[in-house]
Amino acid sequence: MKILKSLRWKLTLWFVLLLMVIFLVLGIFVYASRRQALYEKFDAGLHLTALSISNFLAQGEDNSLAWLESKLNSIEPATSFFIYDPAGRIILRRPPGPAPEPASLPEPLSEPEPSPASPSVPASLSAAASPSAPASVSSLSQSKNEQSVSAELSAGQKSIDPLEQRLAELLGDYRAKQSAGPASYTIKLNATVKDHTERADTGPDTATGPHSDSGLHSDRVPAESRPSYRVLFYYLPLPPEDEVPAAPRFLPQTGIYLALVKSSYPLDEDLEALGRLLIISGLFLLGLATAGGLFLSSRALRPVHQITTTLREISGSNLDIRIKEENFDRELIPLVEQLNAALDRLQLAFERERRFTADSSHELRTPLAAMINELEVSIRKPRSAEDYQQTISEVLATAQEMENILEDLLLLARMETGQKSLDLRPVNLRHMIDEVWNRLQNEARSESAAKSGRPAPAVSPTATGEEVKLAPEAAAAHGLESQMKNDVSIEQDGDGVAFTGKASELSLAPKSAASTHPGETFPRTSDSKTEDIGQSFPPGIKFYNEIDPAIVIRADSNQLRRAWLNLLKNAINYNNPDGEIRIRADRQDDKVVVTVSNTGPGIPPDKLPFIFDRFYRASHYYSEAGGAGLGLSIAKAIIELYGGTIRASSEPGLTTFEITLPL
Amino acid sequence: MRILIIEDHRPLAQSLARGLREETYAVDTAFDGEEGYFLAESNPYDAIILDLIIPKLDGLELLKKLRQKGISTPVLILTALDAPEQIVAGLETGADDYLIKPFHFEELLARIRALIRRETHHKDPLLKVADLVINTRTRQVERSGQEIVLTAKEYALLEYLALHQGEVVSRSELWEHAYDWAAELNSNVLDVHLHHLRQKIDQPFATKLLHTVKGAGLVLKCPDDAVGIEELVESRTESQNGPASEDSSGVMPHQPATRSRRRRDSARGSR
Repeated sequence: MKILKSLRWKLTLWFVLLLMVIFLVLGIFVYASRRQALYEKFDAGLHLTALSISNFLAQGEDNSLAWLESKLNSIEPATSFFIYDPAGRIILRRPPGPAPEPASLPEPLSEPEPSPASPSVPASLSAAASPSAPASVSSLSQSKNEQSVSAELSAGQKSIDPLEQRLAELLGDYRAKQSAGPASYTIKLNATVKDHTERADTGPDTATGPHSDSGLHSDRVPAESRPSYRVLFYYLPLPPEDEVPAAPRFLPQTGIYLALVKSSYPLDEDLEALGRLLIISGLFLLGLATAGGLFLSSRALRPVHQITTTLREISGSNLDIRIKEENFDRELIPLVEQLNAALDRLQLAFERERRFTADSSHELRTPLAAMINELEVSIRKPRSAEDYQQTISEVLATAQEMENILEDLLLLARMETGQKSLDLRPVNLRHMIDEVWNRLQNEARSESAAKSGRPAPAVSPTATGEEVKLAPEAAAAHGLESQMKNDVSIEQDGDGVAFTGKASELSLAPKSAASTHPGETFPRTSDSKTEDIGQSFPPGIKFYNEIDPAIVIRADSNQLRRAWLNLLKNAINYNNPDGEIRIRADRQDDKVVVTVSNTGPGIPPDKLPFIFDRFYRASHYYSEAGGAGLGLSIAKAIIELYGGTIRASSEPGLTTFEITLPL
Repeated sequence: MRILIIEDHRPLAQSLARGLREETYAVDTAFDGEEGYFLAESNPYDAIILDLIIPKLDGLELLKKLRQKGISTPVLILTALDAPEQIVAGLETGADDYLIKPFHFEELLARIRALIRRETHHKDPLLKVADLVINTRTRQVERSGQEIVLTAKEYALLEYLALHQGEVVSRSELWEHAYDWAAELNSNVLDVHLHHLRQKIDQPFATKLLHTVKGAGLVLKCPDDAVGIEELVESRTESQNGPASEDSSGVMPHQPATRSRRRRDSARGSR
């Protein structure tokens, strides 16, 4: 079973099996054709014997046993035979042995010559044959060869078929007595019998006269009819000893001449030798095929070993190793390519993980180090109360910074494990983004106020509402102008805040987009008349909200608002001081594609794949962009929570985030 | 001793600066790599504390650039990156020490002191000039077993002179190593501090240790030193011409006025 798990051995087995099947088919074919050839050779003796006997019979008066015998003796390969006349007497015989018996020859030869008359010949022969028959049969069986019985039938004009049938029956009986025998062989030889029958039929026409025939078969065949002979072959199994005398028993009833002929050709030995040869070469081939199969499968598996060796070298510290494609054959190149691609992805993932580890330790340890250091320095010696207060407030600020990072991390972790439940309600996308933008402005305003030491101008909710209302009013006041100019810039000198507007599609008809969604709490009034209000804080950055107010999505507004907040923050922080931020949305079938673009310097292509990674910042610093580099990760996590997607593209001067949200 | 802190986390940079100043060091801070490089390149600091993940110019890049410029100021890397390969990379790039955040301020101090001692070839934390003993760890000064109480600036000047005892130290060199950018741009301040120092360490005693070398500067040395002041002046000019100049760098000392102008320019540019 273990071997079956090994590809090498499996391939080898298949290879061996295939070769052995081919060899078996070829071997059977070779064996069969060789056997066929051998049998033909074997049969040739029998055929010649039959032909000689038929010729002998056809000669009629001229027939001489001596001629027949000389003819039979000259047959190659040599045959041994017992020939019976219809009366069951042996007229000619040659028992199997290394050489024909010289003693028996003169006897049959001398006898027919003085009395050429047909009746006398069988008579004289029978006497001589009877006693010797058992002996010859026993020697037949001793040779362990297949015994062939050639039944030669001579018949006259009358139909032979019944006779043939009868003979077959009789021989069948005889055969049934034998324990074993190749039955199929008999049928095969019948075809040859027919062939010979024809030859025997025509033979006598040319060779002998009618009278000679009548002389021989006077009792059976009418003299006036032309002699015709039919030779039938039957292959009989080797009879047991002492069974031979039974053969002639039926002869008197049929009036046929019977010849038991056995070829001395060593058929079995040849076949055995052939079989042995085939088996030995088969075994040899088996060994060869196994070795060859192992060699071939090893060769085929060598690239796999090479790949394994290369892959084994790869560890976390040297992920840049790649399998060299040029070392491999065409068929393996896709595999190698795929492996290399997988390694690329692995390396990227490793790189990402390493970066995350480094970044998170940096982001968390640095504020921690600041806190510890602040406290350690301050505890080194007694200080004034103001000093302690200063220290404590600084530590507190740093602790809050850490808290923000940890909150963000926890939020991400919860979203990644899907713990956050969604409260889905219809939300007007445009209004939501305006709201987020207002919030950002207020934050920036209060921050700058805090920095400059002045109180925040607009942080209370009511103040926010007023602020927002200001914009549509101003836009409405300039409505006619805007229709003509299409671009309007409104500068208001209120605490350094500038509203820069672009009104591309001004309409005085009240829009009821927001009022269709009463659930939406939104500081903007529903009679907003402008399509686009560019507002900016910090001064210089222009904001264009080009979203169709009719677009309503189902969302958890708190969550989604956070995603927009982070995206817009990112767009502000990485923008040029006088850049633009543009948001547009397109409805596509069952989803909305929102694009947030800014005109900042752009993200270098080598950093683009990582910008959604936690803690990743195109440049690491606390001072300017703020945040710990978690904003885009959170935006991405939120958007993916809705089944949406986010991707970024960047070129110098235009960075675009494309967000797809299901409706 | 003047130290540069390059760290983008402002609270950390500020608290470090505060702690070091209380230890009599003159401290400058830079919040990004470019500013840090500019300051490190244009001033002869006695040590630099460098964070690795800083904006504009990566810490390791900064260090590499400094070392390529031939500035050999001792650098201590202070970072959150704690992987062995990162430590190796930091030290192999040319840092002299590596400390991982969060850290203990005492350890940082000890390491900085060690760096400065190593740089001036004083392995003993007790500096001795004749019967004057300066404990650099506790910042206690004794002469003939009598404790002398010094202000932070006086101690800083004395320590610098003691670390370079037997060498003539110019006024501008003293200024550059004992005062940071926050110091008043008045060279009188140095004279006043030196005067007080002299009063405290020399006046009550018979033998004077701090000598003025006309046109060259000051030297703190034993009176029984065989080498006369004139010879010292000669050896100083020789050593300045030679490749092995005394402490930090082949950077020539700058006049305080030009220095502060540069500082302001760079500060304006970076903000």
